[in-house]
Amino acid sequence: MTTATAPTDFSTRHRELLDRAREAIRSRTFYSGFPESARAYGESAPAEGTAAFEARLGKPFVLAGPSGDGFSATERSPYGRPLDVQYPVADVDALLAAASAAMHGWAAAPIDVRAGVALEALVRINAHSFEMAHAVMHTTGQAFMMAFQAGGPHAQDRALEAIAYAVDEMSRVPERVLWEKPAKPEPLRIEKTYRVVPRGIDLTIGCSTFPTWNAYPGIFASLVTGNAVIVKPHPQAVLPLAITVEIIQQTLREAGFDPALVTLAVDTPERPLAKILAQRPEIALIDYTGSSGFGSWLEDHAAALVFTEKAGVNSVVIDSTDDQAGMLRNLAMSLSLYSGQMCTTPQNVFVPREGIMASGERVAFDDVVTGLVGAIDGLLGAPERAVEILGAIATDATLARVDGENAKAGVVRRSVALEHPKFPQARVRTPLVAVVDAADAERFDHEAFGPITYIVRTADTNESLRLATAAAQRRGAITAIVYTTDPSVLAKAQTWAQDGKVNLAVNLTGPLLVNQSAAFSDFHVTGGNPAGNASLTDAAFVANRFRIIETRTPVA
Amino acid sequence: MDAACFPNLTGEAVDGTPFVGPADFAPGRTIAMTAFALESRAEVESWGPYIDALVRSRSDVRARLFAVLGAGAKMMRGVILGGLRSALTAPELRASTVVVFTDVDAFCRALGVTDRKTLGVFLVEEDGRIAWRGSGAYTAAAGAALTAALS
Repeated sequence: MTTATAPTDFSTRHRELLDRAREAIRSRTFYSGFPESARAYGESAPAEGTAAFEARLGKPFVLAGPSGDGFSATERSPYGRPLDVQYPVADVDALLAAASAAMHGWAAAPIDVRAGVALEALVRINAHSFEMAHAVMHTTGQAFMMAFQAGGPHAQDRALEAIAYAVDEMSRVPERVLWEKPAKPEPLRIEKTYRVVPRGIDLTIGCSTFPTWNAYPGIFASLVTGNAVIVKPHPQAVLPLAITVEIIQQTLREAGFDPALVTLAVDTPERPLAKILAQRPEIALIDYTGSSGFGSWLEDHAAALVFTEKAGVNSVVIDSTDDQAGMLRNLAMSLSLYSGQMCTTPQNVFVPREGIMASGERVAFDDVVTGLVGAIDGLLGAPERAVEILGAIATDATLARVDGENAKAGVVRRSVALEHPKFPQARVRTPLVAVVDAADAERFDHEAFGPITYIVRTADTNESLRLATAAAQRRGAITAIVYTTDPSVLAKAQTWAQDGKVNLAVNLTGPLLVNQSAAFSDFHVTGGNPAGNASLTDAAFVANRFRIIETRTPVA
Repeated sequence: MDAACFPNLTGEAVDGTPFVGPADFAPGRTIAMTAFALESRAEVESWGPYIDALVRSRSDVRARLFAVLGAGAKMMRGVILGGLRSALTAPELRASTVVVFTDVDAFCRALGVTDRKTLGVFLVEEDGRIAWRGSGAYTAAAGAALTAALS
């Protein structure tokens, strides 16, 4: 027997968490609602998480809500471990009908009740962080610690941030006001009520590399603003979002709401559903992370309100530095982490052909290249450490791209396979570095997703900045870094950031990597260039997920 | 103009052994390769089988690769040597790869090198005199010429 929990209890239980998150989005200072240290979860948590993950393998994964005929098992671990988790194939009509029906009760609930239920689900997801880490690792190829942190607490923080923004935005308008306009002989007195209503059904389309981190903001922002959510996972990364939906459904049920408010839409390679769902009139919102091609199609063709994070070409401009070794080590880690499969990983490193100034001395272009390659070689020298940095390659397409690039001119560091000490079948590849000239735009002026870095030889720093700006404007960019000790170059780099509408990092030589994005403080994607039209998370990401319906009643 | 002698230089092998030329060319003869950019790596690798066979068959010949970088790059010494130690795991490769931080323009002038993109290959006597010089990737003709110079 299960005992229903009054939904208001969740709201009370998590009020402090919500208040602190709301304060954090205003102050932008460090805050985290969920610990990133594995030790914080207790001694038994790792073993329990492993057991929970392993119990999922080779079995059907059944959730509440309607499903069609048959099962789909499309995931393949980049580490070579058999998964064979079978998910019911979605029936689109039934899924949409169930979501519409479930939304009525949910939309009628007070804002604080919806927020409380969402926060309770999030806290329960947090308790599953070790299980989630295995699920993320074996679907995306992330190394375990990255999968734990990025797939667990960091993703949960992004969800908490979205909830905080949603509550903030919905709380801007009072529920009721007595409006009095001075008039003769009597003032005009109107009672006005304002009701937040959801837009409709949200379709969240997940990606193959960061299925939770990228999907949670949209899922939770839509839920708290009263919408239903259909989660369409990437066929390669279903399990992390299936576990997520399962936990949210359990929480909804316990709070007395219809669990079909949040459902999973799994498809088959023969009949992909993302386009079909996206064109249905019942879909009012779409959250999308993935390739530029489909993201742009959604932006152009979907009738729903579309929030995208697509791909881009991230640039590094090296002009001068006071800490050459620190710069190279920092870049080496940025380029190597998760084999360049982060949307924030730099791709093009622009270096003047006459070299750079380092601590007052000129360093030749070739020596900068040698230094960067040396830093990567040093970082990845020990194979057991290297695999924990590199992770595994998520998709066959990335593997093919790397192999193709290995055969091209200018490669000064070939990508080679590394044997994983625990997973002999793992698809591990080291970073590839190629030197190209600024004139070779067709080589570097497009996204080369994966462990591929181009060091672009430019005429001077001005050309470096011009090319980086053009790449951000035409191809999109999510991150940018400049290394300079010259204030006038820094000012030009700020112009690059503003014109390219890309967030800028300056002289990173320590542990902070340009790849990293901290919830509550860093805006992930600006929404201002082709890399995406939304930002995680700002008010614009949540404010249009609901509308305000007003009722005016004259009073005596 | 081709130089008669290999320039004086000071460097450090990847295994940490200091190298001071010309004194450390002795004893015997040295096949010295000079690389100024990583783009020469393929050319270096192309000579590998020939040189491996040569040094195994002749105890009076050794091979060294001089990775020549600018003096300004010395601030990256730890990064570069650390990277090379990771990339070169065989002790004989670590011992025979020497990193030199120097005035590259002056070094090239002294050696008579005009093309820094191309690998330089030199047969150096133990007193530093250059007995033979070639450049670029290994070819059968280049190998035969070097073999002839050694005999």
